[in-house]
Order: sequence, then structure tokens, then C-alpha cells
Amino acid sequence: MSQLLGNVSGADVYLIISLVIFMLVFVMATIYMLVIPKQTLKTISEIPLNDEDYEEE
Amino acid sequence: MQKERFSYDNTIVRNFAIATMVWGIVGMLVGVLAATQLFEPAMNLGNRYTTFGRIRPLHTNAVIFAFVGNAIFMGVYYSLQRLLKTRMYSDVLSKIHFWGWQLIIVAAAITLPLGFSTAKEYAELEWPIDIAITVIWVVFGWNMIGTIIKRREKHMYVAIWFYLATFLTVALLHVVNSFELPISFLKSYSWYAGVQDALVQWWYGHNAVAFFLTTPFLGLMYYFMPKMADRPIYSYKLSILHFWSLIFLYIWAGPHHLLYSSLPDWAQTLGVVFSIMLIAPSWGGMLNGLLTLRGAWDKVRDDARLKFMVVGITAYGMATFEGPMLSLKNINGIAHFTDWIVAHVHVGALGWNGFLTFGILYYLIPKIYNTKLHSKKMVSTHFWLGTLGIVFYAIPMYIAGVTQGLMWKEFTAEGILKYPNFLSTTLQVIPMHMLRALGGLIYLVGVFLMVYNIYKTMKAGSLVRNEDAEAYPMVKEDPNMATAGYWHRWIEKRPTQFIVLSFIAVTIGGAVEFLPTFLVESNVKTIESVTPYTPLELEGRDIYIREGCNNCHSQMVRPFRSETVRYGDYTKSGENVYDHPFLWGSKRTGPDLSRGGNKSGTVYKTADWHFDHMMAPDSISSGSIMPSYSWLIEDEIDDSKLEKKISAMRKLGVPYPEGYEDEARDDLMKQAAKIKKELDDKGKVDLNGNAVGEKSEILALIAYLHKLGRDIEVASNENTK
Repeated sequence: MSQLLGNVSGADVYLIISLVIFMLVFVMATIYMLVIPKQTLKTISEIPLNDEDYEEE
Repeated sequence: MQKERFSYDNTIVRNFAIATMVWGIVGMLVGVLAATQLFEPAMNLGNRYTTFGRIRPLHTNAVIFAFVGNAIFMGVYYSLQRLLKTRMYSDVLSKIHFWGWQLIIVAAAITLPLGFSTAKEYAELEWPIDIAITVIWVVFGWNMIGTIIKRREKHMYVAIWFYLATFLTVALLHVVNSFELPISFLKSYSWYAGVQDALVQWWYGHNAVAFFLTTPFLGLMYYFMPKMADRPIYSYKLSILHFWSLIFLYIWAGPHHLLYSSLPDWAQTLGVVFSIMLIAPSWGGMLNGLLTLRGAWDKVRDDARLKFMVVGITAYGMATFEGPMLSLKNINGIAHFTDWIVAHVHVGALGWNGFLTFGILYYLIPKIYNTKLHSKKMVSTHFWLGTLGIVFYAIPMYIAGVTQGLMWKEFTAEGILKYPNFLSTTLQVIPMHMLRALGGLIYLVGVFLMVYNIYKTMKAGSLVRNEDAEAYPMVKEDPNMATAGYWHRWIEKRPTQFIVLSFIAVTIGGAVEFLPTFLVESNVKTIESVTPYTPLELEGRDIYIREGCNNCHSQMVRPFRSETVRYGDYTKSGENVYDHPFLWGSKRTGPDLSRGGNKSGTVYKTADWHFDHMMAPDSISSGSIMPSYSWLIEDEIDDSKLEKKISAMRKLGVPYPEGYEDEARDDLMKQAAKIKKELDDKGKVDLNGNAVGEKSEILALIAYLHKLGRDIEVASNENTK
């Protein structure tokens, strides 16, 4: 990988900006994921099972 | 508070289910037909409409947009109503969506065999159909967002996030990639040229896989997997991280389709790096799906529907590991242009999309028909036939891909190509192509079995058109609860916030890739000796596009010694600046043609050679699997739109002098007469023994093939002087 990164000529700034933007998005998504209350997560994850017809044959 | 009574619309789900099965069979039948042509060219049934070049786009479009497309809509219409505890926003919109989509498919099935194609992979449909797709797609989005707004369930389950991202991104991809200048009702030229067209096309192509074949199916997985396993998804937290990382990362990876091309290096590297990073969210999603079965694996033993889901999700995991590996330059150097790529996409299409679709069909048809499946045993048989089909398909294609990739590159100890005749590498993999067709056939037999089983199930039950349901209306937030989970509520409360955020996530990648390539002139270096196509060459190029030659022949020489020795100088961005659309291709069933006009090169062929070769390829290259194109000799060039074509090209930036429209036809006839004379001198006659017509299509095609690479030869001659 380091060799690949080294091969970028002149325009490595695009790559670095991209990685930085991704890191920001990833960190934001992680924080977002962590702050959702447990109860909410449980409620949401059970939505598909709350249909009236969910008993299996 | 009182519960509200309402009903779910099952008719629309049933309609999309039937369409899924019908188009699935059509698309796969065409696939098997195309596959047999790769070892028995006579299977084009002797006519122009069913040659590989024309039915390969028919197969890909039918399977992607007709089979998988209808399956997406079937699953979305079923799950969205239930997840949001409401009927679809508008039955009328649902109907318009259904019938509109089927009409588009019919239009595609008619126009593609007739040769109306833009030549851009998975976006071959011509501009009126592109507009229809846009309209119907908006109807789908409108209906979906309307449903979300009138929902009774305050939370938007993660499946719906994936549906929304699908709607939004496919709209963006389709509109940007379909920018084209119409010449007539069914002919247009791509707005972009050469390397820029390639970048836009593969940004689209890659993300069509991401946002048409992947995200909607992940949404379906997040709904149907818990339903079938009867337990919630393994980790909802993981699904959130999965969603945001996946939609953000996918969009950057398109350039991995253009490695070693004339696309700027930094853009190629960007594609590689983001492709590798994609493994993480893809596998996160796969594991989340599979681990939903934790503690319930015993169900898989008895429930063949779950078998379909498990193998489907595993196929997704394999394909999403293989994809990043294929984007590594060293692996790509061998795999690109070979059957390996075909194997890769089919693991995804047959395994992930096919198997999930089958699992879902087996799940929801008995539900909406209020009955049990006709035969569970048949489901199990279908599962094994399908799995066997995939194995028989994929393994031979992997062997074929690696074999051909290595043969192309092999040099003898003396330093010359070991297999200088391209055909020998094609012939080497013929047995693998036969096995592949067998694999496809086995898979198709399984599908027929499923259709029969589902037909019997439908017969045994009766469709519950409006399924009664009840739910509490959505209540306003309790202000005391507002502190916890603020951001989550902010995002999912109104779809608008969510859509805006998703839009930002998917556009950043595209913008970083596009803007520099489009704005910085140094990215496309001009080559002085490169001239626009003559009128005859332009007509020839359109014939090349009509026949779909680009489905088997690339026009992009990579900077490898094995390629420059075999074909000639590697491809530079400056030589494609007048190519609307670009025609680099993505598969070499036959050799690269981009140096075909290079007289001093190794691949140059004379006019009479091309004539004989088009008439009967096998007589020139023994064993060739290219079909005969004898109609090119009989048919006359349709130059009725020549003036329009010249003006359109000028509008797109091709430097034809003002007023050249008036001279174009004379120039066309002059150049045609020259080539005709060459053929006449060699005594070439058509099938009826008549001399070649003065406006025969073959003349235009030869002119075009002789143009390829000629300007580069001029440039290198001047340099050596």
C-alpha cells in the first residue's frame, strides 16, 4: 500500500484530502452510533418483527 | 389513544413478483444464449439481431434492471409498508411505477437487438428511454418518500435508509452519465469524450453495482433476514456504521475499472485505496446479516429459504473481498479484460442478487396469498441446482480468466511473445466457456422449478389484495425524552435531513474525482497529430457501436511490455479527445483494436483482409468464434443524418470547420471509393457475386478500423524524425 501511495505524482493532495474527509465521516458516524440510547436501538431493531403476521408457519 | 385501521397493498407486490420471475427467465435465457455463442458462434441464429455484440447488453440490462430491478421494487413495496405501518402513499403512483418500468424494459428489449445503443456499459439505452427511466424513477421516489412522510412508525428502520440512498444515488448516477446530445429519435452522442467519458462511465458503472445491486439488497437483507430468522438483526449499531461508511466509500472506487489506462495516476490510486477500504463496511454488513442467525443456525437445516439467504450473503462477502483484490494493480494487470471479471460479477449476480431474490420470493408469496408453499422439497432442490449452477459457472471462468491473463503476458526465453496469435488464447479457454454455459443452464433450470413452485402456491391460495392492519398513529415527541438520542432523532425524524446528508456523502467522492479531471487541462494532454474522424470514419464508428464490437474488443492498450509488443504503443488520453462516446471496452474476447490503423504495426490488416474476415471470420482465422457480419457488405451506409452528426460533434467540441456539413457527403463518397477500389482490385464480391456497393457499410467500418491508432503512428514518426 505504501508503495501505491508513493506512486501518486503531484496530486497526492487529493488522496490526502479524501482520506481526511473519510476519517471525519467515519468518526462522526461512530460517535453518532455510540450516542443512540440502548432502548431506542432495541425498539428500532425489533420493528421488522412487530408486524401482526410475524408468526411463522 | 385508538389504533387506526388501514391495509397494505399486496397487489403491487404480487405484480412486481411476477415481473421479477418473467424477466429473470428472459434475462437468463439470453445469458445462456450469449454464453453458447462464445464457443459456437453459429448460435447467433444466423441473424444480426442475436449476435453476441447486441445481446450481451440485452442480457446485462435484462438481468440488472428487469430481474433485479423488479425484485428490488417487490421487496421494497412489501417491507416499506410494514416497516412504516402504513399503505403506500399512492396506489396510482405504484401502478404508474410498475407499468412504466415494464414498458421501459420492453423498449430496451426491442431497441438493443436492433442496434440502438450508446455503447456505455449498463447504460446502453438511448436517450428517450433514459428520460423515461428518470421519470419513472422519480415516481418511485415520490411514492416512497410520500409513504415515509405519512408513516405511523416514528423510527425509520435501517432498511429504509438503504432504500432512500438507492433512490437518491441511482438518480444522480443515471442523470450525470446519460448526458448526451440527440442526433435523432434513437441516436445520440455522449456529452463527454475519451478519458473523461470513461471516468464518468465507470463512476456510473461501479456505482450502479453499488447502488442498484448492493444497497437495495442490503436493505432487503436487513428486513427479510430478521423475518425469516425470527429475531432482530445481530447489531443495529453495526448497521448504522455499515450504512454511512458504505455509501460514503463506494462512490470513490469507480476508477479501479480504469487502472493502467490514461486516467491520471492520482485518480487511479484514489480508486484503489477506497476499494480496499470498502472491505470493512461490506464485511460488516455481511457479518451483521449472517450473525442474525446466531443461536438459530439449526433453522437453516430445515428452511431452504434461509439456505438461499445464507449462501447469498456469503456470496456477497466473497464478491466484496474479491472486488478490492481485483483493484490492486498487480492483480488487475492479469485479471482485467479477462473472464475473471465475468466470474466476479456473476458470483455477485447469481449468488447475492439471485439467491436473495429467490429467498424473498419464497417468503412473501405464501404470505400475500395466505397459504403455504406448494413444495418445500422443490425449494431445496432449487437451492442445490442454484448452488451447483454457480459453482459450474464461476470455477471454469476463474480458470479461463487466469489462463488467458497469463497467456497474454507470457514471453519465451528469447524475449518474444509465447502466444503472439491472440486467437490461440481464446481457443485455449473454449472448454471453460462450455462448462460456464452448462453452469448457467443448471442455474436456469432451478429458476424454472421455482416459477412452477410459486405458480402452484399462487393457485392454492388467493391473493390478499388489501391486507388489514392496525397501528397507533405517530405521536408527537415527549419533550422530557428529548435529551437522549437527539442526533438520531434529528436525522431520522424527517426524511429531508436524511436525504440531504446522504446526498452530501455520495457527492463528495464524485466531486473529488471529477472536478480536477474536468477542470485541469493538463489532465488531458492534447496530441497535435490527432484529427477528427472523417465522415466515412464517423459512420463506420457508428456501425461499430451498433454492432456492439466494444463488447468483445477493447481499444485501450495498457503500458505493459506484453501489450505494447502485441498491439503497439500504449493508449494516451490525448488520442481519445474526439471519442463521443469512448470505446475502450472492458473485455477482450477478441484482440484490442486501437492500433488497427497503425500501418507499420503488428496488428494492421489490409482492406481485403477485413472484407474476408467480416464475411467469414473462421475462413481467415481458423477456429475464430466471431460470427459472420456478411450484412455489412450487403447493406448501404445510412448517411441521412451525416450533417446532423457533424454539427452535433462540433457542438461537443470536435473542430470540424464551419460549413463542413455541406462537404461531408462528398468526402464520404471519395474515401469510400478509394477503399472500394482496393477491394475491387482484389476481386472482392458480395455473397451474390456482385461487386461491393459504392456505399456498402463495410467501407465505412474498414475506414474506421484503419483510423484507429493512425494518428499516433504519425506522431511517433514525427518524433523519430
